[in-house]
Amino acid sequence: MSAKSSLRQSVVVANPNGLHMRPATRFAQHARVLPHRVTVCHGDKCADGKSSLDLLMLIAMPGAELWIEIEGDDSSDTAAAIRALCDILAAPGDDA
Amino acid sequence: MDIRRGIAVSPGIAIGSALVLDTEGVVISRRTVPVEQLPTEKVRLSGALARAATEARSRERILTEQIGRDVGILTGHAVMYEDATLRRDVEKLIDDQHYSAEFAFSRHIRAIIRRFDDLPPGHDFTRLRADFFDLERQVLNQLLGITPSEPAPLAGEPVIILAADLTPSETAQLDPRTVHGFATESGGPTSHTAIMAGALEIPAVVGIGRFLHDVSSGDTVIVDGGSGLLIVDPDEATLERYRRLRLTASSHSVAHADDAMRDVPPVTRDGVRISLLGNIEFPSEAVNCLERGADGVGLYRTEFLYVNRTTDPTEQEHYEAYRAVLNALGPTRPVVIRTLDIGADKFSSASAMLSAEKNPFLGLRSVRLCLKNLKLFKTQIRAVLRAAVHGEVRIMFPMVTTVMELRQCKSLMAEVVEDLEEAGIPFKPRIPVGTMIEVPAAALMADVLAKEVDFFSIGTNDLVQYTLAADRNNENVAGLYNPADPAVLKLIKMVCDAAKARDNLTVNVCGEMSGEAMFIPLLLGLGLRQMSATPRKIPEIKRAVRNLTIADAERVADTALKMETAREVTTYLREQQRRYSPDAAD
Repeated sequence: MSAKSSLRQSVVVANPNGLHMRPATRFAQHARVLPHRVTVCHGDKCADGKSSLDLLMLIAMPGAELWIEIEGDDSSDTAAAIRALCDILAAPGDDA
Repeated sequence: MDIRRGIAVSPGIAIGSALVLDTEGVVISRRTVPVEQLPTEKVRLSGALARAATEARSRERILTEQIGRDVGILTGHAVMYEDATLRRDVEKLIDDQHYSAEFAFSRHIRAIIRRFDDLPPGHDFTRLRADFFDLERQVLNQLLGITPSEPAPLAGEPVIILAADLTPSETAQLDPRTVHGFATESGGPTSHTAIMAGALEIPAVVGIGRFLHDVSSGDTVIVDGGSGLLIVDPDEATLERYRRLRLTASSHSVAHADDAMRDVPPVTRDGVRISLLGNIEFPSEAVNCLERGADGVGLYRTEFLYVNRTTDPTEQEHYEAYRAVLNALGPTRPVVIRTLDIGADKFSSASAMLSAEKNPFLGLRSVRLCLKNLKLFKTQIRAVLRAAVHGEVRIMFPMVTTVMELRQCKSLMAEVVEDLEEAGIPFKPRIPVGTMIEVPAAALMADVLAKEVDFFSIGTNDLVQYTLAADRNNENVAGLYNPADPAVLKLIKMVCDAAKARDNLTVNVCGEMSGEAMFIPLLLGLGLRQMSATPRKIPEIKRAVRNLTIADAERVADTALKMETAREVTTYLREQQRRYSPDAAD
């Protein structure tokens, strides 16, 4: 039986338009291919990281602090996965 | 004739018949269905979402092929149609409320949009709202079997689309062959629609305010995408003027002539050689400069090294990015590297340094930021000096406001030189040092700054913004932002005069002003002998230079400097452009 491993990391939204359609899409597309469960929380609101709609509904403005939590079994590379996801939210965007 | 001013989002001139797009939504007749039909409704919903996703992806693909790069907006829509949460929520409405698929989907999307509307003011959700209206429309079209209404061209004539607003999907469908331009009542410079119009190279003006009730399909209209004007029912003189302008701007007819320009030197009719350089953002663009016949790179922006990542670039990453451009340009063509020129808000490693600034454009950015983060700054300077071994490298500091800042930059360079010497690393100890002139204070103090540097480069975009205290992207004040404003001309003249008095110090102009043929006589007349613009514009500038003598240009500059308003200057410069470059207008 494999043990569960989970990681939590905070990230500040860098896109000057906040977590809008394009970063949310990028994030969800990336999260969907991961074997992990991905949750993103903004204050007390939490979203399924694989749903761009859920992510948009967090209404995360530029500068908002989000917590990303991912859960997977021990064999999966949780650290690399969370780093990649953080990078998407920390990116200043291409359409500022 | 009726002239409306909006926000210029995509340059170019379009003349044609107006096609006013219907802005009515889709009418949903069936609201609820019998219980036994609920499974069918859910199947219809799934099917519609899947088809909408497929269509969005294929439109994105077509768009990407058309414009040669990824826009990503319609992919965002596709990912949304496939969203498990979205489908689950709508299915729940069907199950619980016995809604038809259409009504459930529409209700749900409207509820989402209302949540944006209910948020406290302070952030603009216009774009997201437009996205969700678009999602609603596309899925309803699928459910109701409506094929999207193609803007029907009127008997093969070019049309100009006029609408309250265009959704990204609608914009993506516009065919540049039949749709020559568009103008909308709402929308801003950073809206998806504006970005797409720019990418498709369709002249467009947005944010005009209410005008649709004053125009009907079939009216002749002009879209002046460069100046942000919509002209309804133009008089004959205006029409004629724009027909000529359109010919000048038409990239198709000019492309041929551009090739011819590549191998001829930028020399005025009386034999004065002007140096034309390209502005680049990425190393890969260096070849574009050569293809367009530029003498070198006048502005190598280095921000790309810093953004979209969580750590600062290493010295080696800087070095390799500079090497790549030097390799492309060879050992003798100049390459002006501009040090980091963004605000701390734009990249993650520095954003921790400060809390959100109320007024970032007057805050800690560019050289100010670098002088507070010496490690970051020294890393870049080290890489520049090391790369300089391989070519004709010059370094330039942006947003310098006082001479003290410039002196700090230079003493930092001296420290870096010592470090490199001690470490025994190959580098070039002495390279030309320049300062950007883009803050009015720097222009006013140009005589003092001139003693410290080897060249000036006037960054007109910021100089205009800071001089006129107007943000060009703010629709309420964008009209003030104008490079032809007499205040701007006076500052440029001061800079040129200060340089002349200092042993003819080289002055370059980078920024959009030097990329516009209209300004070339003025800039030459003010004494500029070097200009830097986006590579695409180089042939056009070269052509303008070759049509002038220095005496012509000086006369133009003298006359323009005596004028009192930006409008007078613009009108005059356009006249002179027609006079000296008639070939461009035929």
